[in-house]
Amino acid sequence: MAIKQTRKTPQQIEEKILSLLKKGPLSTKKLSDILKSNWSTINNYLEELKHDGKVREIYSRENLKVYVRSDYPVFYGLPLEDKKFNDSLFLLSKIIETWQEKKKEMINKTTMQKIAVNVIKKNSFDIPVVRFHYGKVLTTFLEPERYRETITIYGVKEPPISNKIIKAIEYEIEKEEHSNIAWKEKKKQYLEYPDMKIFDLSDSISHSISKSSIDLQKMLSLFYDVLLEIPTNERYSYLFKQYHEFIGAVNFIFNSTQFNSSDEDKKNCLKEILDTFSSLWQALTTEFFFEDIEPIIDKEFKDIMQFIKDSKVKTHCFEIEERLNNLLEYKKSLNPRKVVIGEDEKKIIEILLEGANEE
Amino acid sequence: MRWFLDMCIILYYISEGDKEIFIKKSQKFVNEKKENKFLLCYYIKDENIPKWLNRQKVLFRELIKQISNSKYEPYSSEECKYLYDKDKKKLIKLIAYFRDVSDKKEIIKKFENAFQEIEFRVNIFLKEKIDEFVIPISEIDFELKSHLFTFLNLGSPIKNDSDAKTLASAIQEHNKNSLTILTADKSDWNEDLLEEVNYHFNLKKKYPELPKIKYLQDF
Repeated sequence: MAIKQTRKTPQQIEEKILSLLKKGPLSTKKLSDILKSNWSTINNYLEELKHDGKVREIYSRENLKVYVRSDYPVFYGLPLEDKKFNDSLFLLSKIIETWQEKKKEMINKTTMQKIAVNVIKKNSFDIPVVRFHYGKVLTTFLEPERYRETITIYGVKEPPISNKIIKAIEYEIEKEEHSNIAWKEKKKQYLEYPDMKIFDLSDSISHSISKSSIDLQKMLSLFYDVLLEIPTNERYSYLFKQYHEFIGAVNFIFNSTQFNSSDEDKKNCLKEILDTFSSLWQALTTEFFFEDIEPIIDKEFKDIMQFIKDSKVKTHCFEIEERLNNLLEYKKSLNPRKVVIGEDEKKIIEILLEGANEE
Repeated sequence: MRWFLDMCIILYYISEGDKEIFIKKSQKFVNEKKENKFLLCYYIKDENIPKWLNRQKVLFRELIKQISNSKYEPYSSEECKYLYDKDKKKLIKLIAYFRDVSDKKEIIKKFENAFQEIEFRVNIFLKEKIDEFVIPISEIDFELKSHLFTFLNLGSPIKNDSDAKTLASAIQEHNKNSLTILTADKSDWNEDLLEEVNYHFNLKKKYPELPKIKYLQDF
């Protein structure tokens, strides 16, 4: 008797693709191999899913296209080892539940992440933590309002150490004074971890620039502090250089005769300065993120991760250069105020200008 | 008299200290300008000075890296390729000078202020002391510049494109309106080098007159 082979409907194929993508990003080629279909057919389905907002393309070069589910809860859609992915989401979901149970309110995302980091660090759990725009976070994220849906979709299971994790969460929520206010939680983390100093400084800059009366010297001093915290290795060389250009321009602008002449100009200029600083900050913390996540990314995916990183960094660099150019153009239109320089500055000038006949 | 200034005249004029005799000589020469006219080529104004300023920034970034990170391998940064050996010696001096200052932020502040002061002095010099900017960069004669480049630092692997462009500008301007070059660079800028123009068939016809060179040290 002949076996009747049933042909899958387009809906079934799309569901299968979405199901396979629960494990993380996959290429069109890989999906077509698994589904025993040709590249072009699968590509059409993926384009359709993309159009419906169910998947997004994270890599595209020549014939290689990589997709991830739109709801895939890892920053930048990067693939994580199964265990790390599962345990990370389990931890976050239990924090949401425990907070709800103890505090009778929905936890905010920042507090959730900060508690998670403390639980991992204090108990040495094997769950990755990375630095990102607002400090240390997990590589995964959950929306507290829809977390059940996500953990169901991704089949998050109780890990063997679930009891230990739950106890640690309860302890952290009960004993360590966490609040449901994002900025307080950020500050708490920045003060708790020595490598978070640069984040604290960045926060202080945003805070000081938003005040009604701005202490320019204090702000300049904070900008200098940040320079000293930017890593000096080659990886950060571009950002170090651009940040140095930035503080050079800010120092000049603050010392110009025109800067204090009109409140309106001053306000606009401070906004430009803050925007430039934010662009630099976004680029720097993106670099932090990739530096921290790189060691846990599978070798097979390293090239794609590099591509994702490069495209993010490129966008940030473009923004930095545009904003920095605006500041430098503005600087050109200003007259510097003559400042009295001390003996040290004179000595620096003397050293730098030595042997000028060889220039 | 029309004086075509080399960049070093400006750098000495704005400098500090009394260790180098050129500083005083440059200040005296410029301050006693009287009826003289000072010329500067666009190449120095728009390219060479900004390039020099940028090199000082690279030098300073290298200083911060060296003093703030004990694991940093000196000069391992990509941009250090823009630094010369003489810059590295300056860096050693700066490190030695600040050896007792533990607050690194203070060093940054002082350097930024010093840098700003240099920029300020350069701008004032360009605005107040220079009477005319000559030979736009796009008008530098490539053949003349290349010929001078060949004979500059003859025998040395280090060639100086900046000097070639500056001297080409001076020769071009001199053939429009007579001038005298003023420099402190006795080793590279000399009349024998300019004479090479006379040994080039085309250039000799194009630039029959060669400017005189005077040295700051001889004043």
